Amino acid sequence: MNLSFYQLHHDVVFSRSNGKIIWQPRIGCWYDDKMFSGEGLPPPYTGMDIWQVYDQLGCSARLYEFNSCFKRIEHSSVHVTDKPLNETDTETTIHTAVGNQTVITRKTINSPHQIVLKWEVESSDELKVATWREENATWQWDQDRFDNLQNKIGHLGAPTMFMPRMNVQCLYIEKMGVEKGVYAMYEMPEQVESFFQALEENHDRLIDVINSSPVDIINFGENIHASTLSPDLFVKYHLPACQRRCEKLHSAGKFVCSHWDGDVKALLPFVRETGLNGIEAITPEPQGDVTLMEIREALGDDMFLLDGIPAVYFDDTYPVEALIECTELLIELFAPKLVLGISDEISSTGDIERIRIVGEIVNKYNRQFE
Amino acid sequence: MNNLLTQIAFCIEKGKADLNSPYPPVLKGENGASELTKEAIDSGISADQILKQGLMPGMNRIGERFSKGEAFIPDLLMSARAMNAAMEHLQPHFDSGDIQHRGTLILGTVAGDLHEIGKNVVRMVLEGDGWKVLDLGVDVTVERFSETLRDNPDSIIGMSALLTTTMGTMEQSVNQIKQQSPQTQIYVGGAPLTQEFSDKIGADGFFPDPHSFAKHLAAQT
Repeated sequence: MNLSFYQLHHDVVFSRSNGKIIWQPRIGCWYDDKMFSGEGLPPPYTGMDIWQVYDQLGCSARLYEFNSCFKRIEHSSVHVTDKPLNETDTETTIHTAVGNQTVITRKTINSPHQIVLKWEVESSDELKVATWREENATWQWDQDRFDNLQNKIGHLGAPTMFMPRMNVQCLYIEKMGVEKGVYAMYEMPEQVESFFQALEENHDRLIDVINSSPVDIINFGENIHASTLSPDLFVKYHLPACQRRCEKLHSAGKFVCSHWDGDVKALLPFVRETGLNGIEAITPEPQGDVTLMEIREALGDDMFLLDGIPAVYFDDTYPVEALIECTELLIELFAPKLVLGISDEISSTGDIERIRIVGEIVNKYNRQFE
Repeated sequence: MNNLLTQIAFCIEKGKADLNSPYPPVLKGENGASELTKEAIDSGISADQILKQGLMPGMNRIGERFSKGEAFIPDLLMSARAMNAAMEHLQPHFDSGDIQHRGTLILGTVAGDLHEIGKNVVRMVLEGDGWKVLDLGVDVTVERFSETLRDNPDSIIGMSALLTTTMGTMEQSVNQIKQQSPQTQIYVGGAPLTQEFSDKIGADGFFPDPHSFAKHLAAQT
């Protein structure tokens, strides 16, 4: 196995790279959308799987596939059934010893994703079931899976995983949707906070497994957006939970970052209080709501930026010079605390060849440290 | 009378829907927008006055704070909930023609895009500013926009997109509707969009937040 990107990734985040940085563009959306639409990949990538595309592009990948090494084990009474309601809609029922939850989703020909018509939690009873599930779920490590992944894709980067979302973000994105989530937090706070407590204790059990594992790069896959996770909610719920998590993960020497891919200006003043080593996917102008200088000032000298190039710079709506200028400025401002990537991913309308241009700039920059 | 309308506006701005709502904690146990609106109607204040001097100022104030970055979507959602509680008492007056909407907005997230929160916030702010909003939801095809426009020919259209990949769909939708109905105003919004993009695709305007959109529309009516 060629360990070059594995080693470089590890060395960069643990500040052992002697100044070098790493280029890790995420191309999952580009790949998945092209496969979903039936368009297929353009030459020379035709017929390749995503890992072969990375090999062809000559760059590192952020290997969140290692998530699958951490298996959530539900209480033995929990089982799931699906019932088609019509050609497009499916009702999924989660049966448990203390009651059921139902989810209704709709397939659409326009997107690989499904529309949620009914969320997993839309009533007080369903929130009680969700709380009970968190109280009773445990986690297991899958060494065979880890070994297989290492053999297959380990040369592309260091093993990486993202933890399940914390309190508010879990409520918004996984359980209730934003609107119902907000109403629940403000109108039945005690019950929601019991759920948050059970969720955090469940995640503590996962951290015990993570800390005994060889996966050293841990992301909180939060998808934070300041418009929905307002500063008030951030300070009340997210920040203290994040600090507690970081402390536990740091005790085992892990690198910890979080995925903030929406508007972030209102939350940047708190970023150095989080305990995180870095922030992934902060999106600067013209796509996001902050400048690179504002990000630099907020992160200070100790925190890493992961990503940083607005995805729109890979589209032909922007000249390639804008991409080059942004890349050079990012390196100037953030190296060596930089895992360069795309905020948040190259889209299916993006020019994949622009990934090579950034790669050349990074390689040239890194050569001075050889 | 003015005091009652001021209190309604305050409850809407702060998101106090009714007596039973525990939010905001400082107003727990107090009457909310629902009770105060009923009291205003019972005391003979016209529905139009309640709408224009109670509900609209409340929603405008929270919308303005949102556009300045001083309020956030949870605040807007709670205000919209309070406004809806008040609106239940005004609905019969809309139905009878005592009060009229400023106009009709057909709203949707374009096909292939399933993001809804930005679009929903626009709906809430515009409803609070006196518009009738026909919310078509997410993943809305150009055919659905066109059909709804055929049934509501004097409407304006608001299109949302959060994905760069669906900006192309937005362009096609705008082109197709403009070909069929050149006089229809189409406005666009969403994180990756700009005024430049709006100009390029032939839309009538881009607004970065719902309040500036509402202000623009109000200036036209």
